[in-house]
Amino acid sequence: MRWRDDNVRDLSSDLLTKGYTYSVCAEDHDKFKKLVEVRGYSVQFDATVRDPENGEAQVEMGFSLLRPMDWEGGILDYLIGAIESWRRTTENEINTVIEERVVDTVPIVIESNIAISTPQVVYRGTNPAQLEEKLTRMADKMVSRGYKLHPFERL
Amino acid sequence: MSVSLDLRDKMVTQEYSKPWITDGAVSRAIAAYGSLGFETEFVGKDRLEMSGEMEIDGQQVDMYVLIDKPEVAQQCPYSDISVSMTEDLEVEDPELDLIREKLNAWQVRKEQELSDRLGADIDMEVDLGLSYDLNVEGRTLHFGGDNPYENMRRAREGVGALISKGYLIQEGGTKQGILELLEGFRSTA
Repeated sequence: MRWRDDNVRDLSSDLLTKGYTYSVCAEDHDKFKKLVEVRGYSVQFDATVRDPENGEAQVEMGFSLLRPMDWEGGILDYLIGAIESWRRTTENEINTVIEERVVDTVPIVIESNIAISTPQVVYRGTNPAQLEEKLTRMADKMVSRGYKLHPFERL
Repeated sequence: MSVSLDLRDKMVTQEYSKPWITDGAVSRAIAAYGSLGFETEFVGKDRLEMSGEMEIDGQQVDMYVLIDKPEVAQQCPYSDISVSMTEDLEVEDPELDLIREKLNAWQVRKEQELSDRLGADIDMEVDLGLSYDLNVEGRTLHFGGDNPYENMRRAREGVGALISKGYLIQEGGTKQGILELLEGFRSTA
């Protein structure tokens, strides 16, 4: 193992013995996943173990909602409009200069996008068993209240 | 590395069974460029192309060399180093920084709102991606002559001067930087 912290190794081994499988193996963190059953539906638990710069290694454990929640409207609409306005103005400004001063080129096109992930319920700690227990209770509570959790396929 | 051997491996074809590049003066020019870090890309019946990536003032710059077949044997060939001013720039702008700040603030507020509603710790990722390529074609700088080392010296000086003025930005830049870059093309191209 490349990591300097023995705790990280212990946490990773612990997750593997609890049925998690590797999903991402990166420079400073590893990700694991496991499908669990909640009220007849599948829910994916994600766990991330990071190489700590200071202190004790921690696990982040969580699940995602299946769909984005109601975040449209208000300030977000305003910000999307502001970005679009900036994009158009800048594109025109640069292309005007190109047209005036540089012959052998094509107009530029600015690409913009806002990526917003679905909300993720996350718990952090050093004991994977406790985190998983807490997370299972929360998943059960949310599904019982009608929330759909990723991937939410009937088992 | 033996440049002549390397080239012979690449160029032995029926068409070039009498390779002009083994002419003493030509092979010396090729060897000179080889020692400057260029590698052969193409051997034609009357021209040879090489390319190399040079670090100038901390920036990696792609350069190309064209060596012409001399009309007279043992004549020093004319060669030319060219540098194309093509830029790929990421957009940075104070106005955008402000929008990003507001997006971050929105994210924090929304996470808190959802955390309160769901009774759990909520994480979300918000990413604003903006990019464009600015490809200015036909704006190529040439440094030619019959002395490869002199060509290279002039190329380094010329390109270095442009870099110091911010004209050769490999990646990263501001909207203002792009406008200045375009302004620069008029005087340097």
